[in-house]
Amino acid sequence: MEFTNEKCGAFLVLVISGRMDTLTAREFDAEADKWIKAGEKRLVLDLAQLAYISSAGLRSILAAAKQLKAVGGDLAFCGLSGLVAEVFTVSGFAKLLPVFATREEALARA
Amino acid sequence: MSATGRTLRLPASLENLEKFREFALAEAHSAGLSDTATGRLELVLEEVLVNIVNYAYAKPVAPGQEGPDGARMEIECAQEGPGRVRFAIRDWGPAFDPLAPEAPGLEANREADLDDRAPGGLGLLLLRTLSDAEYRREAGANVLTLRFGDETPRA
Repeated sequence: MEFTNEKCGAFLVLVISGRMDTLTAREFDAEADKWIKAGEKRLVLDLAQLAYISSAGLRSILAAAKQLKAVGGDLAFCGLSGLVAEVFTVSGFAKLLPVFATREEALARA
Repeated sequence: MSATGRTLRLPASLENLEKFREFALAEAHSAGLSDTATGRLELVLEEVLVNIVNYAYAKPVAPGQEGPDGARMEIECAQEGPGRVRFAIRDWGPAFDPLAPEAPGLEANREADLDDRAPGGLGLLLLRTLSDAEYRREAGANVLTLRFGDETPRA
């Protein structure tokens, strides 16, 4: 898994590429933890480059979303497609968490 | 299962996930499985194998260890014609049907909001939703048959 980031106003956009599975999910845990500890409260995960996610990845995402909510922030998503979009739909995460088609929409929020 | 199917049997350890994945993807590729079906296969396989590693045996087999005799998992593949493939996944733990109706609490949990939503239960949900699966207990083994191809239900 690889991460790049971009600060956009109140938001930190994290672009994640590669695979979020049982063997790699903790890399995301560490990355999210780093930004939350640094004081970022509004994270947008751009998953357009993410090829694969399993329930282990969902578990990490749920943990990060709860952590952000606890500090008055939020975790949103954009760029889902293919298997990743399917997994978000089946798991109910697409209803549980804010999911936007594009990064622009994810950033155009109060 | 077809007697001519290729089989991979290894200790039930997370370090072997990648070998099972490579085995299954090679079979999917040679069967000409679509990208969509291949993605679902990869996902369902991970969920099933991780479940076996974590729960089938008294203790997960530690990396680099052989584990006790029988603490194994196995995948057998049979090609079922163009674009279609069938896998049988076996473990020798206590009888466990991953397709049995889930506990009512798990379904309610998926309706909960972020504060109340608990982790867990999603691996088996993905299995049930994204594959055409059948379970049977046979000769002391749990056997889960997974079919992928054009008839696989869409989410």
